[in-house]
Amino acid sequence: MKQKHSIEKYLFTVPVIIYSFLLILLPLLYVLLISFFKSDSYGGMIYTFTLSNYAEIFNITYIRIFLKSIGIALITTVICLFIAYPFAISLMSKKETTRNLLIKLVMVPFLMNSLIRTYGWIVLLRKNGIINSALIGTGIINSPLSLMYNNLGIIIGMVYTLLPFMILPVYSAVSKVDPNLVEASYDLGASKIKTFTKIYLPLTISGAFNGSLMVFIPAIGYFFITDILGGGKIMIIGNLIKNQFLTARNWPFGAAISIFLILMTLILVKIYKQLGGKMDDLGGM
Amino acid sequence: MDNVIVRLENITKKFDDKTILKNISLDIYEGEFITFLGPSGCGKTTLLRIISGLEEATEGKVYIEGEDVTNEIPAKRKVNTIFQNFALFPHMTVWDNINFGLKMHKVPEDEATKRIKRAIKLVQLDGFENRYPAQLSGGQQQRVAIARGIVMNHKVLLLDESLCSLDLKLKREMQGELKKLQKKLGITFIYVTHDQDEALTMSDRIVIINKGNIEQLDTPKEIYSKPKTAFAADFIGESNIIKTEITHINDDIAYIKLTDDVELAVPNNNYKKGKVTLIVRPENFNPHKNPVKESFEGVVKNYMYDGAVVKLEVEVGDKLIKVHLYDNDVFEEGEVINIDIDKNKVIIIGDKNEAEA
Repeated sequence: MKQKHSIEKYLFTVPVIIYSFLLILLPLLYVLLISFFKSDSYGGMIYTFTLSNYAEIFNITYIRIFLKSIGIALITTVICLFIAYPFAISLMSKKETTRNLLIKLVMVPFLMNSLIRTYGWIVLLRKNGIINSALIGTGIINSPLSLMYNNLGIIIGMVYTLLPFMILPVYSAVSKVDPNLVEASYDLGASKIKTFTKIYLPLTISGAFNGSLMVFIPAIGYFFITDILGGGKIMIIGNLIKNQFLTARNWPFGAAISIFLILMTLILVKIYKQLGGKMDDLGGM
Repeated sequence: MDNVIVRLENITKKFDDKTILKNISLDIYEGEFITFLGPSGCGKTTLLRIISGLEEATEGKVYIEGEDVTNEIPAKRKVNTIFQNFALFPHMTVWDNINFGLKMHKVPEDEATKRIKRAIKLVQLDGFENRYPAQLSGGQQQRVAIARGIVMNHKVLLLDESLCSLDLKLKREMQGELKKLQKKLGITFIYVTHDQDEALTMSDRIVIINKGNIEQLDTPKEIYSKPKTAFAADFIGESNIIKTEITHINDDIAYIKLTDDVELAVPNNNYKKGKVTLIVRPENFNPHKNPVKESFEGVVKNYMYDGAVVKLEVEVGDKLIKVHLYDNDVFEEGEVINIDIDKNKVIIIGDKNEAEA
């Protein structure tokens, strides 16, 4: 802002400002606005101010859905952490070319629409799907396992879709750990597990936080995974919002839930950042 | 002193198809300061890592305190390594860094406290216990790394180019301190370096390693005065290394060709006629203003004043030889001078690369 006459500066920032204003800020303000309106029984809105939409969120039915969403998102995050760390650490002992190849493979799923990929899981997970057929065929089980249309299916889908968002920040943090520190730890008598908890984890905690945020937040809202792999029986916040807008046609209530979700997410980001910030100071990285 | 503390038996190390170490056997004694010296890529660090267990030997055996530890993980070996970049844990204080190994070995807390305090005192870091590595200077970080190693009370400490990241003055200071510390603790230091000065000042014995082979294993004094190979002579100190031949032998005098016109007469030491490598340290050529007995002439091509020593490069025939001078004679570039040689300090290596002097 100090360079008053720099035209170039505006030339490049104005499109971004217009974009953000028209396509992000305005719709968001609109959502905020209608969250304070009343709905009529025909899917329309009555333009009088009310807080009843927000009050309704605290109905036990919806609180259950919120808790369930958070539960599924948390489990997804933890599973992603448990997969990402061993993967990232084992990559470190590979040659650089192998490492780069494997990291590129992690990103390959991005090339395909996630809806289609999620449908792909049906082929694997359903009662007479590939996994069940293989397990029955080899005689490991007698009757098919219920791998989808339940919480398990949703979590498998979530972990599969969101895992790259965990692996990339975790790998980026792990690859910055000086290999000599790991050797020093072994040299001083630490086991692999101790080396992980005492050296790797504290030094990469900010990567873990970043990854957790990138997994947790979408996991609350990815309604299509619950729709497809949950069979429409299980609801998370994302489904609830979608239903209010498209099925129940109660836009003000849908808007109120959306705003509530945004606030919750912002609070989570704040907490994560604060924790992450403190850990970073300790790590000195 | 004569207790073997680390024994290496026929160690060979290959990375893919590249051989890094070739059939190395070596006994290292209790309480000695031994240095692995060699150019970068010679395998000295790999050898150190094979002792610590951070690297596995392709063939051969490693014994520490008489125990075969060839297949043991680093945690089970009674040695500790001081890494080149110190490898201090950045998220732990000085105290916690030093405590790390004790915690991993489940040393009771009151004993650990005693040992840490003693280690901190030994490396003179009192008052720095609660600092983080990033708040310390390079020299202080080095001390923490040493304290973290010696607090384990093992009889062997491995040091991987531990001083090479320090500036010259600090390096000199730490060399003295390391040596003192090693004497005080009475434990074995196995030190890896490419710096010959460092090796000469600190070591009881030096192992010169080149291309995965031990070139020579001796005390610094023996290595300097009696290098067994041209490589050893070249690597330690400065040398004139001249490929030449012994033209004839007359009972107890051997005549060796320096240039087409100059022949040196040296005491015969079972030499044989034929091709040899002649090695003369620059200080064993003596320059004079006037001819002396058995001197030859040369032209001063280069004159370098270097404090205590004056370094000359003198052209003799088709050869350029290095001559060091410690007194106050003044020579000028282009001046013709007379040179004679300390006959007894000449080193002659036969064709088979074996020492014959």
